Amino acid sequence: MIEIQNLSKTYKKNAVIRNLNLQIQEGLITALVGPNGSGKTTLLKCILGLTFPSKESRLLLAGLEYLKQNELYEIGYMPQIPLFPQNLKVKEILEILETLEKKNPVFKERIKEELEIKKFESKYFGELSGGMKQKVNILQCFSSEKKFYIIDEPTASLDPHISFYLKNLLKERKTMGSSILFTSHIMSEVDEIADRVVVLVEGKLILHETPSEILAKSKASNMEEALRSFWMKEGKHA
Amino acid sequence: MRNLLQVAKFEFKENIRNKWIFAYAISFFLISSLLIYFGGNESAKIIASLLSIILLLVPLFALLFGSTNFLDSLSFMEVIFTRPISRFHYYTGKFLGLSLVLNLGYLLGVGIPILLFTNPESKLLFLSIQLLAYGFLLNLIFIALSLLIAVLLLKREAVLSVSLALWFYLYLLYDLLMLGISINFGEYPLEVPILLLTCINPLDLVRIITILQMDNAVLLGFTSAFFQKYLGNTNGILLCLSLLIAWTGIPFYIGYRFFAKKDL
Repeated sequence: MIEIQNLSKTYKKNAVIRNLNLQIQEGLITALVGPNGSGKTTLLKCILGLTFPSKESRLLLAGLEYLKQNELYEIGYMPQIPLFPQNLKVKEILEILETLEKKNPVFKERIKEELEIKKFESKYFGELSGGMKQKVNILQCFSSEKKFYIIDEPTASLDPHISFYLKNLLKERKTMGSSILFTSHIMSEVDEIADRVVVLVEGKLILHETPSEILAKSKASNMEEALRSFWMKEGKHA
Repeated sequence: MRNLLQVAKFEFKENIRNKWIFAYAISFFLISSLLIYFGGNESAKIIASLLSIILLLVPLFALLFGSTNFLDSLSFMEVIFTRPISRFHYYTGKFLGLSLVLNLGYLLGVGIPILLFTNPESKLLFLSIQLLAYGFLLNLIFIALSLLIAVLLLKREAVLSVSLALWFYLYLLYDLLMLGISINFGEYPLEVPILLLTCINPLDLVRIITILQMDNAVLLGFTSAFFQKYLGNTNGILLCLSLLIAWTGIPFYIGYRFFAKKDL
């Protein structure tokens, strides 16, 4: 379980996240949604240790302050757009990421096989098509077993085949006990794969419920309509 | 340490394939070959010309290449830092990798013509090898500065503008300011201030120690005797080298301190 306590982040006097408290439970897929500028990316970057929150903030992974203790290797990250080194071959990129990794890439060969990465692993990353780049992105994130996965807009730029594969991969990791946090603007996707939905508006947590609870509370017929009604209540996207 | 070397290795591997490094090495090779081949026996002229080219190109290329490379790697850094690697190891590895690539391009571009076209027994060979070493240090200095600028600003337009402005200032404007000071305050004893001002510009340091080695200190103008007295001996050269090393170490350290606390 990842636990976020009193997380705040301010950029030049502009509070992007305000005193956020959140628990992301084990073995669940959690969607992080909110309008543009609501603090989703900043929250992800804080969890990943890329951005430094205020001093009172605490981030715990299985009870451990993982960033302070350099235990970040339990988190896998898949960025929305993989801007990896253009002059390196796919296998070289995977090699460097693997050597920096503490965990054994037990799923590497299987994912390589399933996504047919072997066909282009000797090519330079700069020569790959968008779909091939996304396959490499999936492989680097899921090649080893982690306690926690962070996925930024997982299917935003994927073709249906890879999108389907990724959704199954997320479900598989969930059954293995990993927690998954993903951001998305596609509400049908949230409805389809998320067990819990976290709604951020202007850096504040306004909801943390299951999709069915959200639908029941809002009395809306679908997730898009439901979330829109919550955002409107908060004065956004009215 | 293992992580640091891994980062240095992958930076080297990636950048050695960069077409700009190839163009850099080829340009140096052609210019150096022409200068040495057609310079005949006039070693002072050849070294002075090589020096001008090195002072012009090495800092400019290192500043632009280092800073744009850093900005281009920001996205990949996000993925790298989900692995257990410290920012110190990453930053140092990047610095080492970039320095190795640029210095390899430079050493091949300038070093091969020196070996091919200079007489092994001439003074030109000795001076050229010294110049090669100073250029090597200049690469380290300006890579450290380029990373510092990129870490501080993070925005491409700002990073490129500041890099160009710094190069313009150190290469051209600084000497004009020194000239202005010596013309306007000529009646005062300026030797010590000029010596101190020289020490805070790495390009001037390299220019002066190279010229002093050429027995042509008169090229340094009215302060030549003073420079010869203080920097023209072994202690002076060691002092200059220490200053050049400090010029690498200080920007590197400041850059790292900012990077360690930087929101990516």
